Amino acid sequence: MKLSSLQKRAHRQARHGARMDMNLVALIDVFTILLFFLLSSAGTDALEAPAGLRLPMAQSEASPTPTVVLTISGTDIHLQGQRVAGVAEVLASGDTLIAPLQARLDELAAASPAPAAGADGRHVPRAVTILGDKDIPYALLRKVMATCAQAQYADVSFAVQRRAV
Amino acid sequence: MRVRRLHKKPAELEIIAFINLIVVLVPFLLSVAVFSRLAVIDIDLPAPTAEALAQLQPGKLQLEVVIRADAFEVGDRVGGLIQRIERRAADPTAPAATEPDRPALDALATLLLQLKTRYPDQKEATVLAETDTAYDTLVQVMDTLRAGPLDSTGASPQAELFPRLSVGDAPVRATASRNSNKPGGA
Repeated sequence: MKLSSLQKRAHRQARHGARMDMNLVALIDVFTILLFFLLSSAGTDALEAPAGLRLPMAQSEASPTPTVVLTISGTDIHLQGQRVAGVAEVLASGDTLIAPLQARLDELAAASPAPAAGADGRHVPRAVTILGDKDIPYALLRKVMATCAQAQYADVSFAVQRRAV
Repeated sequence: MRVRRLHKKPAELEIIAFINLIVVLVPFLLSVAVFSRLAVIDIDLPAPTAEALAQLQPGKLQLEVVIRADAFEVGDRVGGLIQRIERRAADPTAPAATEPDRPALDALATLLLQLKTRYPDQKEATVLAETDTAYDTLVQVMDTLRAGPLDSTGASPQAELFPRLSVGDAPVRATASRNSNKPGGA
């Protein structure tokens, strides 16, 4: 019987009972630590920036809370992932408010119960987080914020990328 | 007496299944891991009714930072301009830096620290932007107002300056009328 060199080697090893041991302990150590690190870091963020959106950097350390998310990219305005308006048409129009955005915000407000009044009995506004591209002009932001305020979403937060220090 | 030695093989751990598991899990978790952490800056949208009341408090600083195309103007709503900080570098031929406003922002932070020591209880400030101000610039100024300069170690800022921020429109340069309309107040 003609055996290939690999088969010969396997036979030799089987005869001698000497198995080649790979030293896997260090590898397993690394993987286990990496596994725990990744498991602990996964799924803690309430907010995730969509690809292609460049958020401004800031030192703020306030963590995002789960709220209504309004995304303003260079071309479109999305509310909760759904496109509501285009940036160009909003900038071109002379209105101070964005009608489709307000309609969608009103729908959302109607669907969710009003937040409970604060400890001092004052009216607590609904919260919205704005994820804006760093290059959008203030004129656009102003219209968006005016619309949010008009639709009772007066608690506005700007999402920023935490500056690595 | 003859000693019989048992030729015992060393015990081996069955770790193949475990390795398979982590080899699959680690790339999966790496692919979904988020390495850039997000944070938020809270804004106070001025309520239409609260504004008139706030304006009539004497002896209180109503800090405003106006973002112009060429300068930051720090002022008091009642007392007027406190300081004007030029944004553009003196040398226009200098190569564009990644953060061209950094010197002006640092100067702004220094000024704000002085103001904070003079009015330690003050927490409110207003950022007024022109229509073509970039969102990035707005956020940088707000971040400076909120947190102050980074200290020398690059660690977290030493103190909160003016964490309660609101945003408004910059007054038109020629006229003296300030703060004519704001989002939410309109």
